[in-house]
Amino acid sequence: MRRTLLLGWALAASPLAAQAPAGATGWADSARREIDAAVIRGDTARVSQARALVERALTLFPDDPWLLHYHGYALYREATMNAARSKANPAKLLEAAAEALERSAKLRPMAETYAVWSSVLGQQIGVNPMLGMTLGQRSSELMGRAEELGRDNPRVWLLKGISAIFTPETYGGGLEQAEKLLRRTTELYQRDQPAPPSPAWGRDEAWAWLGQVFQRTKRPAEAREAFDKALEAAPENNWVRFVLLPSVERGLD
Amino acid sequence: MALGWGPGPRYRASMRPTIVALLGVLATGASAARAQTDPTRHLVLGSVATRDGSPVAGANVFLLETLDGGLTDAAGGFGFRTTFRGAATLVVRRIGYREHRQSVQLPASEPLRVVTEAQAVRLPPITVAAGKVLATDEPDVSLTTLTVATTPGAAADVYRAIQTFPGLQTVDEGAGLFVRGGDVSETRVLLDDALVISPYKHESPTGGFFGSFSPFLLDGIFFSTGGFGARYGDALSGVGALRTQGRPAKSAGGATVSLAALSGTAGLALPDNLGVRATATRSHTGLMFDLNGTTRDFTHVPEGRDLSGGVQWKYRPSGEVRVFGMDQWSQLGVVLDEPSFSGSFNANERNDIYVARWQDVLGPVAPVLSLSTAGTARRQEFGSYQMEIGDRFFFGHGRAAIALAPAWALTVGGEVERRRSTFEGTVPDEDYAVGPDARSTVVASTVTGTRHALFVETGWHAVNPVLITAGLRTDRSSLARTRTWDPRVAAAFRLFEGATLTAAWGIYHQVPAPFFYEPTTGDPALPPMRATHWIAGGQLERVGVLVRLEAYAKTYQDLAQRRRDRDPVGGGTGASQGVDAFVRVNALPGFDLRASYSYIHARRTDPDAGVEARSPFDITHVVSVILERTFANRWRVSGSYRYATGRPFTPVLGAAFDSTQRVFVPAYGDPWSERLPAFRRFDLSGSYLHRLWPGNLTVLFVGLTNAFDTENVFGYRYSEDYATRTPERSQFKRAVYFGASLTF
Repeated sequence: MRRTLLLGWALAASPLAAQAPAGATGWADSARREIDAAVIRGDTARVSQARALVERALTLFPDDPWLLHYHGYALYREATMNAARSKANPAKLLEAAAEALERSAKLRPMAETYAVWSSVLGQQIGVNPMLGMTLGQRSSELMGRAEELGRDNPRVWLLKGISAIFTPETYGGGLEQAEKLLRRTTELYQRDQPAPPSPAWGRDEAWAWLGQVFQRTKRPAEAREAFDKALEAAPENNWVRFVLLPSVERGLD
Repeated sequence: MALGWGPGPRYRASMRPTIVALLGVLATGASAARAQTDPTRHLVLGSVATRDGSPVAGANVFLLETLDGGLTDAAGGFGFRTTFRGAATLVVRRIGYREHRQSVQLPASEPLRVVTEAQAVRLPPITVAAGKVLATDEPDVSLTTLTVATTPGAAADVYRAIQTFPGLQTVDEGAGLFVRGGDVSETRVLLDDALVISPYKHESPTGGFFGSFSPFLLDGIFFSTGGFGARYGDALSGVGALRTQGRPAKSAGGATVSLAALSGTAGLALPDNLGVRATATRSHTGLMFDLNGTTRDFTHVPEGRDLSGGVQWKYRPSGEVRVFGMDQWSQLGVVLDEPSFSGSFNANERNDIYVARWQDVLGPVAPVLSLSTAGTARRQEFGSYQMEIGDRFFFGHGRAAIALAPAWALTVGGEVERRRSTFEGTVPDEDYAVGPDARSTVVASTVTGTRHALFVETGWHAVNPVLITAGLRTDRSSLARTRTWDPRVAAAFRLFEGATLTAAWGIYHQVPAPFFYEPTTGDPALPPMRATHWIAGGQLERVGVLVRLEAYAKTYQDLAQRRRDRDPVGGGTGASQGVDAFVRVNALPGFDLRASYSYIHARRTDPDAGVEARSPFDITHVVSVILERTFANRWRVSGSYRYATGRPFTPVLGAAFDSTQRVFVPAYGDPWSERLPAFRRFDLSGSYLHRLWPGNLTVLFVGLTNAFDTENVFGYRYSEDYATRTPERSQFKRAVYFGASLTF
């Protein structure tokens, strides 16, 4: 009670309170849009700026589950994009992401939070395979919880599909399984209309990853079709425009 | 200046970061442009750095009142616009640093300067362990290739670099690893979990002149001076665990040419996460000795040849198979002056090792399997000592770490080895008569032994800052015909971030070398040797400073030693007590200082006198200081100073003439009662990095060993009748060494 009163006083006394009528939720929605735009463009610096934005908001709303979710999600994206560019060891970013997502999940259990948290643990295992001993089982449990909370959540299916691409068939993965999951993902996105500030990312990524599955299984025409659909969903997706589509077109030539 | 500040001399140094930050603000698009024209908004500029002045990039800097802010650039500079005026709180946050809050008055009249301190986000797992030579972020890596290559006087040798850490005694100028009062044979070397039976090149009773493995073949070096866990067996004093390089990140080649060696290396990064590496080295010290001179009279200067290669397959992120093979040959001939005979000691040896290692993580289980074979063919001759030794060794090691709970892991494993050693030749009957016509015993025998072991070890984070490791191993050797049981316990307690206390206790057994069991000159009844370790210490780590202090006590039982006439003597006892200290300071940019000090008091049974006396390895004080300076990321200059108390020796008091053999028979004084003069040496090294073409890295290096040409003594040479003795100067006169290495 005392804490609520103090927070209320702090908000009332803060000039920010006047600037952000929607409070934490408004900041979370701003962060969501900023992260999504940055991810689509493949702009790591902008993802970092978005993460910084959430961190600032968290100084005023330290226990807001939406902000904690987007803090963890931004850190996860930043770590993944940095690792892809071999910029830095992403271990600390992933560690911080897991911590933020765990706090968010405790305050407001959400399918995406558990799914991203599961992927964060997967990334941590990728950085240090020995962590697989303790985090492998935990990652599976978290994905299981994500499925319980969002049986038809396309982002949960998308992360499962991506994971299947990199998991050997003997461990329940493989390209065939990935294709099945990603096809289902694209179907689920057709009726996905989340209300702000709920997560809304992934529509273009589903097609981009499905296209890569087609590429790996030597089906370039289907791959190009999938990449075209990814660009329909997000015309500014630079990864598809400048990397994936040219690569499949080179193959077709 | 449009910003309204006068860039005075004090401010000029930090202009670049703030201009960079300002440009960042200018480049943020239309909204920023609008903001700039908004007269109510003003610019907040500044920089964030650590206490030592290093810029902090990627820090989140903002006003608590409005949350207006931005990230710092690579130079630590920040800049953002705000409408807020008056007293404000500036917050700086970054992963790995303490949150910093600072009161500011806005608009500020000059750029804001923020000093922040590094801090771990979460306390990392305790990796500090008793006896470990150096703690780093990575749990199983304690020395890097670069550390080895840049240690002055180490000649890019792994063991010589390890010698600069505390707990190792400087017995001579070779590469022998004498750990805390123990003999060189009490330290075991493992390569990818395979036991190495010939860890030295140009082997001698005190180890060898160089280690067998180039640091450039390795990507991880762990060394423990005691208190090591139950997975390490058949070692009384120390363990060196080396790991070969993994798959190359890209295909590349390289060549190195120096005063004493020529080598070429190639690495192929193949599809499907497959990699291949190969290295060939030819060494010949003739040119080096011609240029620098030597105190030794070589009949055949040391030379050698190494061929090595490996295949690495990372078949999935957690699974990897490595196969490594190496074949080495070396030869030398050097004149030795003994009172009874002066002649050439000739040695020719060939060693090989082949290792296949698999590791993976399967759910909560992380298995490792290593299978290896190693062989040696060695011929040594000096007067009536003529010996050909053949050794073939098969070794299997398997273990599985099981995560029982997030804070509790269990490791179970086992080892099997089979060793077949052949000895053929003659051995002089007395140490004082070694000429070609001296009385000798013919040796022609084969010793075959097997050893198997099981071990279990558990690591338990009892509460967050406490790590307790307990283990038990049991070994049985067909040579010693006894089963041994070795319980071992270690604990680490973190007092606060960066400060850790450690302690370890354990029992260690080692089977004497096969030559001790040779039926002609050996003793087939020798039991395994035994040592007990007690260690307690602490480590304090602050930004840029690491201090480590460790005290230990070690007792020995059933030591197997050889007398001067080479007869084996069992049942020896002994004890070592000492203190090791290590300090590393790298707080100043470009400087790295490492200093170590070891104090020891060691005694053990003298096999000739049959009484407990000063140990031959009782080097009371050993000091090593290394200072390294890097300039502009291209130049690296380092110097090292080493001091060691003189080595003990047993004096000869007189001699009587033996008319039968026509040699003088020495009369020895109290065992190990005198010492050689103290050892002092100052070495320098430097390197320069240059890029000749894109993708190339060329390194020019030069070393000056014993820069002050100090006359160190490593023994005495006696006259034929033992009436006079003259000091034997170490072979390291002032010597220069240089070369170049390039990659492509």
